[in-house]
Amino acid sequence: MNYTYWILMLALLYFSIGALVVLFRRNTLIMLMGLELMLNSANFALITVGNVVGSLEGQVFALVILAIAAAEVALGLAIVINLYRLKGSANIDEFNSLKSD
Amino acid sequence: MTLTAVIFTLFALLGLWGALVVLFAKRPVYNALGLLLNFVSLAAIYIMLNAPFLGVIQIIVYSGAIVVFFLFVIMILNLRDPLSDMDLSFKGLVAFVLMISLLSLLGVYLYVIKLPAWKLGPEGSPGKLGELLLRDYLIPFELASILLLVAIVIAVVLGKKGEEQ
Repeated sequence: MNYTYWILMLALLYFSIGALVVLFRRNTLIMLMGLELMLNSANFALITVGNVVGSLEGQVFALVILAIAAAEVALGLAIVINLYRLKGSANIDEFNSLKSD
Repeated sequence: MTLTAVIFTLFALLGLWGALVVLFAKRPVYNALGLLLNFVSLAAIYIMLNAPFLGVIQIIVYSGAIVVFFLFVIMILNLRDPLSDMDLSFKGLVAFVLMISLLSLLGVYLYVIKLPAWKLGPEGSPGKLGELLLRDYLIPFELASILLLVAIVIAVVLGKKGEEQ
């Protein structure tokens, strides 16, 4: 039994659940949570492959991804708050206009 | 199965549970707590995969900062009522089928190519990671800090715009 395969499949499973959250939930806040799940599973796969290859580079990449995820969620939530103030709802189907009217 | 494999499976299932809570829960606070469960169990898995520094950083940044940030926003927006925002239209189902087939194709591909046998790599202690970051990967490190600075400025500007209206 090859553990590498099963650990990578676990990362794939987490990624697909995150993608399902983004596809099926219409609330912007929860879609952002799905994005976090996907970024996290990418980190997980990087650390796994770094272990198998026998170098620390995977963990360095994971650290940089972590910083990017922190910046992304801060901006995403600021945008969600602004949109909620504008439309009174966090449902992504409501946000269909580039002009604020 | 060794004890390590049993503990690993336990944390993998806990993380799976958290992810499924994010997918199916109706109340946003429960979604955020499911996210927390996923992050913490992934931190435990990182520590088992010889990445103790990343495990600790995962707990501080993800489960500390990001989940608390989500909870702040849920409370600012006062999302108290249960959500019913599952999109089960035809469009969504087509996307679901396409995505599942793509991901199962990826799984089959991972099975077909001969992956190298599992072994633990070097331990990612803070000292070694810091040495690597500040010596070989200095430019990505500095770029990440510039990105964080830009994110701070944009967050302030977005907050100001919200105030004016």
